Amino acid sequence: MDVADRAFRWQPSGFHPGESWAPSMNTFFARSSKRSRMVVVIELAGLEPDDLKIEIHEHRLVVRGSRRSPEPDRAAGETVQIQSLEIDHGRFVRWLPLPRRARPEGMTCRYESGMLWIEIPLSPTRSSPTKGPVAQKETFG
Amino acid sequence: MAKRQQSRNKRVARTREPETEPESARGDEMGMAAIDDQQSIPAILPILPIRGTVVFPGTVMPLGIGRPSSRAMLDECLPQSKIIALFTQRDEEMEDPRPSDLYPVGVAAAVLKLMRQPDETVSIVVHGLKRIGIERMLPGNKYMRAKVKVLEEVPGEGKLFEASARQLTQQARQLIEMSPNAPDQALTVLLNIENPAHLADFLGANLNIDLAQKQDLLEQTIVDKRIRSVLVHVSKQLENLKLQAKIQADVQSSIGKSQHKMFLREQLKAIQRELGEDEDSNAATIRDLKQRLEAAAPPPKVMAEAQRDLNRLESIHPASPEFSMMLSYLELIVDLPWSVSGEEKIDLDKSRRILDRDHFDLEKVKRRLIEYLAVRKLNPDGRGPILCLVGPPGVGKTSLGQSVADALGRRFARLSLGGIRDEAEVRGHRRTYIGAMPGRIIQEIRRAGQNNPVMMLDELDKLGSDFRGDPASALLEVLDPRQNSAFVDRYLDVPFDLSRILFIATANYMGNVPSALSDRMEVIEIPGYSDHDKVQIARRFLVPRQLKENGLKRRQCTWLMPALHKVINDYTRESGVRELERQIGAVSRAIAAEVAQIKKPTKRTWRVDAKLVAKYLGPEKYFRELDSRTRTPGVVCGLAYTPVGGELLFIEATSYPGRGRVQLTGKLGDIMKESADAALSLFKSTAKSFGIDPRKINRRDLHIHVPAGAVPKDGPSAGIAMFTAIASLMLDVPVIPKLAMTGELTLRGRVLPIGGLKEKTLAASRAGIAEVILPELNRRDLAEIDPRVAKALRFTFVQTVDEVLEASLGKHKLKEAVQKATQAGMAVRAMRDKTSSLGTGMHS
Ligand SMILES: Nc1ncnc2c1ncn2[C@@H]1O[C@H](COP(=O)(O)OP(=O)(O)OP(=O)(O)O)[C@@H](O)[C@H]1O
Ligand SMILES: [Mg+2]
Repeated sequence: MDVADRAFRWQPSGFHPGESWAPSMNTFFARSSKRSRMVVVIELAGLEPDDLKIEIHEHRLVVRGSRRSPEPDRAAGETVQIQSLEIDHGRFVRWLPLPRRARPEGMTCRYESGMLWIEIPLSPTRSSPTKGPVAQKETFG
Repeated sequence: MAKRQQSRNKRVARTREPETEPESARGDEMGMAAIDDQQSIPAILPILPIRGTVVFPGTVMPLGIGRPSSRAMLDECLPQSKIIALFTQRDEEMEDPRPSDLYPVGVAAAVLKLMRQPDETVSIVVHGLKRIGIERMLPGNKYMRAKVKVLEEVPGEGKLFEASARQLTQQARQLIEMSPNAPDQALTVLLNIENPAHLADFLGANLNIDLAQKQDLLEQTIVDKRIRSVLVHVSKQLENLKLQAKIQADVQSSIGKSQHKMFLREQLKAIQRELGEDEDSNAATIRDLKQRLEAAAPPPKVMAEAQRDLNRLESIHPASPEFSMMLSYLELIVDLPWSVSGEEKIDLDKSRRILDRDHFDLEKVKRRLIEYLAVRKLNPDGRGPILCLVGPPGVGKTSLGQSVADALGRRFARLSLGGIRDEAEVRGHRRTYIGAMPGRIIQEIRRAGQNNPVMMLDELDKLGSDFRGDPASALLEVLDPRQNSAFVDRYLDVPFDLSRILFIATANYMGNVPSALSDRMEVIEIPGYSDHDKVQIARRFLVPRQLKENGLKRRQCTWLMPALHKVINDYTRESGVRELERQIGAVSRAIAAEVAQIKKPTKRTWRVDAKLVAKYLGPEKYFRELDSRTRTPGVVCGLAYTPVGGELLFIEATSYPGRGRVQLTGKLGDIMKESADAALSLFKSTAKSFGIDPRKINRRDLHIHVPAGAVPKDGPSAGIAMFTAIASLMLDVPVIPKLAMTGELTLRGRVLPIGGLKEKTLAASRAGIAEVILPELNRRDLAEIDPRVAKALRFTFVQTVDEVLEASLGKHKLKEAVQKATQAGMAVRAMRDKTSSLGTGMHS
């Protein structure tokens, strides 16, 4: 008889005051002696270009938009019954905090075969070895 | 008709379904407008009656559809539009509800998924979008349809509203933290919600309250009121939970039979409540409070006041908000340990043993702690200073506090001050405030259940302050022995004696502690560990603990020394041992996973060597960058002293054609900029002696960069490093490898002493530096350096910049370079009339 277990009855699927779903994403870092870049690819089949919005906000990459549920065309007088509905549809959002070295000004995007490719250059300086709280003052002496 | 619907569906789809909160959506978390503000919920929606649950906007929820009428509705409507109306029925049992059997407020929801089971039932997943009401039912025979209207919310505003929203987040957070079954993301979700309306909906959806209560929350479109109702539910649960936690702790420590009885009574009451047999529970509650009040034995004045309140409680209607406010107040009064104390006697030998049991070395720190306890022992209510442990993260400050409590046989209460900006968090809110709570001090004492615990004021340097008042001054009152014997929490409203509490503070960096506070502190510094210390701590404490935590027996796994060294050098870079422990934990987990995979019992022992570490931890996180980096002329290692310990910093000078300007990058403070300017003008004024024409310097711009991220850097101690960087660049001679330096520089070229020697040398040895250049005037501080560090490093003491250059570039190399520059300079002078662009001659 644990009160803690009685305080909540958790809904299994979380809370989404805005968008309904989030697409899957792969991210990569690629570097050579000349340049480094970050590549993000998001699985987003069946979009119209203006259903999509890509933004940088507070040094985060934010991809949002909306996808229509794909459905068959209907011949005259035909009725359709949905047997299963699995493909995500409606509004989605996905965001990713960018590394400090990212230079979002140089971002490029491309939508190809249902994949959204985003490339962001990274500045060459090696990421700093300093860890921990950043906001503090450091004294040299 | 079908056609019209179809075309409407198209329109809806094009405007991007499903509709959600246009005004903010994610916007409140992301600070931007949602993608499409023009969406609308269709005015006419099919109705899906649901039972036993209420769907809130923002929740995603699976629903099983059994009724044929509901299935027919989905079949017919979903191909047109994925948005439907969900209304909860008043009576769960009713098979065929009519409109009047439904609650008047529901939600418009998007159907995200649909699956059919073999037995004909359908499961759907819905996403609640907006609150709606029914404007008019429309005729239809198979299922209900209605013209609906979206119910607009009345957003809350004002200070009081903000306070209750904040209160709600805080209390919900505590409640989640105390709930063993909460899903991992629950807390993240909670803390990320910024819109109070969403907060209330999120909690409304997940709190275990009954259907009617949930429906009430759904129907409440005035956000302020919704927040307050949720707050009532949350605080009730929280009170229950805290009470129970405390009772359990008490029962375990077998403090008293009476409380055990009370615990049983409490549970009995809960059962009665479930059974609806608690008619006179009100009287019982009051009787119970009276008994507990007697047992708590507060001072007479408090007792009298509490009894008066108890009598008043009897005359208040139990359903009124005042009743529950009064009740939680009285619960606090009877819970507070007015007369429960932990061990008062101080046994110094035992204390020392316990400190030694929990912590390796820290000899000086332990000695100071024992001395402090000895003074306390002689003079129990003495007005001594407050101890403050200062040092980088992960050196054991918090865990020393716990040890001190164990040593004294008292409870340990920890108050994390990080981010507290509101005075009320320390001192409480007045009871007239909605959702008022006592301050953290009183809360911690209640939780500790003793009036003389060891109370740690953790992260004193992270204390904030803003318009809501200055928490530091409230703390001052808590710590001041002249005032704290009668500390008045605003909520509690009667004095509580804090003078017997043993306060210990911690901070990473004393410089950030308000001076009014730091004046009262006796600072004990914990400087950070050398590699040797870390290995010992790992062997004796961290490895055994991690093995145990991962269910491994000691004989199943042995760590070899090179493995520990590898983790320390290649996977961590810290003054403390926290990351080290985490990495050891990661290896232990990997081994535990392998053990678990072997089916039959095995006697195998895992020998963790450097290779196994590399296998489990992956590529090295930190590599020694010294060698590759300092090979270029113009790059010098400086040493800094930061809140997180000493640190190696590279100073990189480069130059390009220009007009003698200096540019500094890397978040440098003013003092550091000044010292760069000073270094440059010193170099210019002495350039001749290096065979360099000062005019040539004026034809180039100098860029000094101090990488290492966003940490702001300041202070004068990089002076000689700046100078060396400039000289090394101009003379084209790289600095001797594995050499670091620190020292302030005067304009006349003299080297002045610096602070933080201990931390700086520790960082140098950690980074693999072999030689350190120090100001001569710091020689007398050598004794404070860790002997093992001192052994690993070679020190060169200097008084002037000339000595600095000789030591850092090498006597011989320096001479050669000066000769070369002098010759080149003469050649240039000879040719100056013929050409005018030879200014770059020095760098090939
Ligand atoms: N000398 C030591 N002997 C044994 N264990 C130690 C020692 N120093 C630190 N530890 C262990 O390291 C871990 C981190 O210590 P702790 O959390 O107390 O650090 P802290 O100084 O409070 O850091 P922060 O400033 O980040 O709060 C603890 O598990 C502690 O037991
Ligand atoms: Mg700590």
